[in-house]
Amino acid sequence: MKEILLKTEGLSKSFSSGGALQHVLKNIDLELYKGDFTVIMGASGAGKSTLLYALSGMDVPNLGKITFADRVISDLSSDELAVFRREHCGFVFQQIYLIDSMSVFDNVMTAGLLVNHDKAALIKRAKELFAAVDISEKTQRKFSTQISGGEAQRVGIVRALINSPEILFADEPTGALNSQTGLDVLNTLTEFNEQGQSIVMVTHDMRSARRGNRILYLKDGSILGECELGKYAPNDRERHEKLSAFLAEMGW
Amino acid sequence: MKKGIFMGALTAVFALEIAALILFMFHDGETMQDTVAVNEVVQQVREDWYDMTSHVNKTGLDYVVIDSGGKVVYRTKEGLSESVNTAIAHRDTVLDIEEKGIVLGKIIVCNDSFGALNRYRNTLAAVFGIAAAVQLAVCMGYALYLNRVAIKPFHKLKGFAERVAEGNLDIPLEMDRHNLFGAFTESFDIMRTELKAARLAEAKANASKKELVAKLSHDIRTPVASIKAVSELGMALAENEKTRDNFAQIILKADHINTLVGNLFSATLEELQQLSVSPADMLSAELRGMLESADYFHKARIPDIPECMIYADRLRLQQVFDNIFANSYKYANTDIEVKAALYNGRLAVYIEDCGGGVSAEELPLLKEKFKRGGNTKGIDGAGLGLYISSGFMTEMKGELKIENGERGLKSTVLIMLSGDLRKI
Repeated sequence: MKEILLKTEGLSKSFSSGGALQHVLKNIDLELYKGDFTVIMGASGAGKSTLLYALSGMDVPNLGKITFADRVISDLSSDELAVFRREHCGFVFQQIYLIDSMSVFDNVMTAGLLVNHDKAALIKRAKELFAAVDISEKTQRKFSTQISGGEAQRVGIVRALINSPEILFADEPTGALNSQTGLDVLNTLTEFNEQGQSIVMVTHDMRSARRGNRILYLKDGSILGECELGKYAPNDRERHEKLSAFLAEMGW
Repeated sequence: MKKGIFMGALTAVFALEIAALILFMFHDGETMQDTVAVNEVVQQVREDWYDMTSHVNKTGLDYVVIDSGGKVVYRTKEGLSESVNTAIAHRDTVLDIEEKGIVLGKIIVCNDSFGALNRYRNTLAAVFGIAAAVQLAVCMGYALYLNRVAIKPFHKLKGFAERVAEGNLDIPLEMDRHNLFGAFTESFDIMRTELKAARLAEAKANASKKELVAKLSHDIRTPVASIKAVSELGMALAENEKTRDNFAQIILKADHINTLVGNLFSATLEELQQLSVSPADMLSAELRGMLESADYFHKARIPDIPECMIYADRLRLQQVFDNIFANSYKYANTDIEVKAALYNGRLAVYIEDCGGGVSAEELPLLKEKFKRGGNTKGIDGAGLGLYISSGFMTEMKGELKIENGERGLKSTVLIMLSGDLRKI
């Protein structure tokens, strides 16, 4: 029996555009489990990113309840949500948003020092993470504008994990990368998941989706179906066919 | 009448304000000083001039005495003007102390002109503040009055017009002759009843037309069947090919007439089914307004609706609620209890009156076409309301349930939740 990390009940989100209400998420009941690599797929405009932002407390739903490890987060004020996000969630975006005027290392340390004031422990954690994503000490001293896109995204992952968050949210993390660097980033995410890191990733890329052990398919703001794939293994033909069949059934 | 009172009150407040303004305009704002006391002080200082240490202020005035060199030789208290220039600036009284034509010094008597100005200003502010408050109160009162007599009835009229536009002609417009729209209201309601009568007449005419078509089609089929039978006989007995062909042609045309008559008949029946339903996502919060609009006699207390997103056609759902409330008014006319809850993945709205319900035999017939209960004598209706409402709910993937509750007839409107389409 898997442990529930995040749960939504009747989650709905609407936006007002040109005076008319646009309903993006509709009564979503969802459970996300600890240690899972959950992938949210769906066509453009299905509400994937809106769902991710609502789950991670970056956006507040109009209706419904979100519970994170027995704590209701949908009722928190924006200040309380900011603290919650900082302490419990890590974020990786398509655009990485590193601070240009700081070195790679300082970028990571800044995120860490907001939560943890034990600098020595932070430096140790940062070094371990940098080693895990294969970023050399030389690169760590560079400014963020001096490194490649793939390196920057791996730094983004280190920054997201510096506070050992219970859950890592990734919104199209390979969207802006080329094929090889995208693969490196996916490998990094897979490795962290194998070590127990819970991940929720939004993507519309099938190669990225293959990394998840649970695939949710979103359509018109509600979950149309889900598929349990089991652990990722490279070149697992059966697993790949199962995913293809599921996506075909969903009308991908 | 009330309008006159408000206008009178407003005019009185304005008149008072203008009077106060005129009074203040002609008030010079000068402080009145006791000239006798001032003269007495000057006299006293002149007498004590050569020994000012023994000088005692015997009046209530505050003053400063300076010698001809401008040096202060006596002051009743600190903070007063101590030179001629300051005195002029403060509008204090400056008098010479003379002895035998020689000026010994000057006495500056404090006028407290700033204090006087402040008091004057405060009085002015208080008077105009009170006047503004009274004015505001009168205006607010008038606005509330206008809201009651004009704006609220106007909104009611608007809701009424919308319902009429939607084709709901059963709900009367309450009349209140005291408001500005009293006469209009009556005309509007007459218009509604006329429209309803016209529509009923039209429906009757249509129904009779349909009956005629049904009857005619039956009547036409009978002679056509005879023609066909005779022709078939004729064809069997025909002695030459040409005659046989003629009979075959007659049989063919008779079949054609049968088909056309059949089409005509089914086309008239299909007209009944042409009410379209287009459901879309909407917030459950909107149901409150819809229920309030349906409950135009205010017989129900509308409860809190569970917050969720629902899948329904606003217009048709409103018609369903209107129909349930209108039926309850017509047949039970009691208080109505409304409840709402999430039930089995759907939003259920329960509407129950206290009219005792209907008999068990009639209950299953209520949603049938052209069927009406036993208590409907003398009440107009065609027996179509619940049939159409039930159809609307089915189209919206929901359901309308009618049953006998504890106190009366209980209607349950089950509305589908958005995003649940795949579960159907």
